[in-house]
Amino acid sequence: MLKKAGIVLAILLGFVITGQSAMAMAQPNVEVKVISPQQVKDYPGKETTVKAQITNHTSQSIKDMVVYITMADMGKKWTVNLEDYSADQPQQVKELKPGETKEISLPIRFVYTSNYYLYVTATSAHSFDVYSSNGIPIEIMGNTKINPTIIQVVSIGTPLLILILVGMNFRKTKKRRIA
Amino acid sequence: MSSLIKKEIREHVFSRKGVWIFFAIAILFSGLTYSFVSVKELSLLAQVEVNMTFMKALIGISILVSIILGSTMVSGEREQGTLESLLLTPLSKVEIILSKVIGILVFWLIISAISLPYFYALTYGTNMLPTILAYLYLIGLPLVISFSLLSLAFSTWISSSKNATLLSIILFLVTAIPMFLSTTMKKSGFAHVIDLSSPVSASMLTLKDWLVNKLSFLTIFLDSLPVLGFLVISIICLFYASKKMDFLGGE
Repeated sequence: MLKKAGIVLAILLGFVITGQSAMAMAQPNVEVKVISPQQVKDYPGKETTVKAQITNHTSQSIKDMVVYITMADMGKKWTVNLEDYSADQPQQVKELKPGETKEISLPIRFVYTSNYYLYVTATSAHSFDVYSSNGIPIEIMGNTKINPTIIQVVSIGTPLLILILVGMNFRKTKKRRIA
Repeated sequence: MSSLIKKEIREHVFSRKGVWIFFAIAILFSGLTYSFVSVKELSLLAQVEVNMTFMKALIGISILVSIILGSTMVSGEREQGTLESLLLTPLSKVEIILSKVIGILVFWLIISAISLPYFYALTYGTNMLPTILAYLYLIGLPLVISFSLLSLAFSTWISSSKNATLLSIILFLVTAIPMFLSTTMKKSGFAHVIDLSSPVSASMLTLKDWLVNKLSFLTIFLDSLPVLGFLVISIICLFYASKKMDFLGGE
């Protein structure tokens, strides 16, 4: 009887421990969440400010944090150079106290036409842990009205026209010399 | 004075060297413009970005060509021994310098005219062309002319054309440093000081605020102040340099 009770107790204890670790996995030490925008669907040149919330769920304060934007180009399947998007400057959080939440604003300007996932990442200078938010979908639609035919005509026509003028200039100079 | 202006235009604009420079510039513009529709990465750019890139290239090329032209104008005359005959004419030194400035101005106006069909093609389907032209002649022109005036002043001060050209190019490169640096690097140290005071940086900021951010007239005017300041400094430098324009062994 005592043996059976011991087994039941061990099983129950096992459930409690597993449940606790599952809870720990569900809630990371630092939570990063994008508040706004929830998605972007616009044309190149669109400027926006990504607002993110960063919460410290640990019992210790986290110092010297950097929070920055990361983007993955899902259209071309590569990461982006954030300098092109004027988003290479991280925001610094000097200290995030236990249970404290801070709001971060990160400006960005979308330049190239593609589909992206944008997410905010936070890390501290005193730990190797990196925390990221969920991604938000960004769709930058092409709006260029440049007509390739006009470009071709101008690209070939203009130097050709100048070349004709050069030829005329040479002829004129030659004639003057002969005269 | 008009005959001297005609001589300058004939020598620099309609000379064999001049027309070949125009042809080379047109080829450069064509290559750049064509790459906006043929290179995949560039074809993904917004139309406003395309025009900004073209404008940057146009201003860069214009400055380089005009400083090379300006820095050889007076020292070249001195090296060829024609400065003496020029100084013996009834024209004042300021008038001689002014005719050379007009020569450079006409040269740049032709470069800007060459760029017009390209701007037409690149702004096609939008209402950007008037803004582009306003920027080109209100900000681009003072910037290019400022560099030309300074190179002309160097050409007057320094007797060697090579040295005057070298000094002008160094000045241009120093002011253009922020264009080659990342945003982070521009925010501290020497690069930050140059970025704040450089007329080239100011012109690029004005371009962005005018074309992309569509900011108010006051902000655009404040952005362009270093360009206008640079123009004033260049005029003063050239005015004093024109007084130094003398015969080889002094008068």
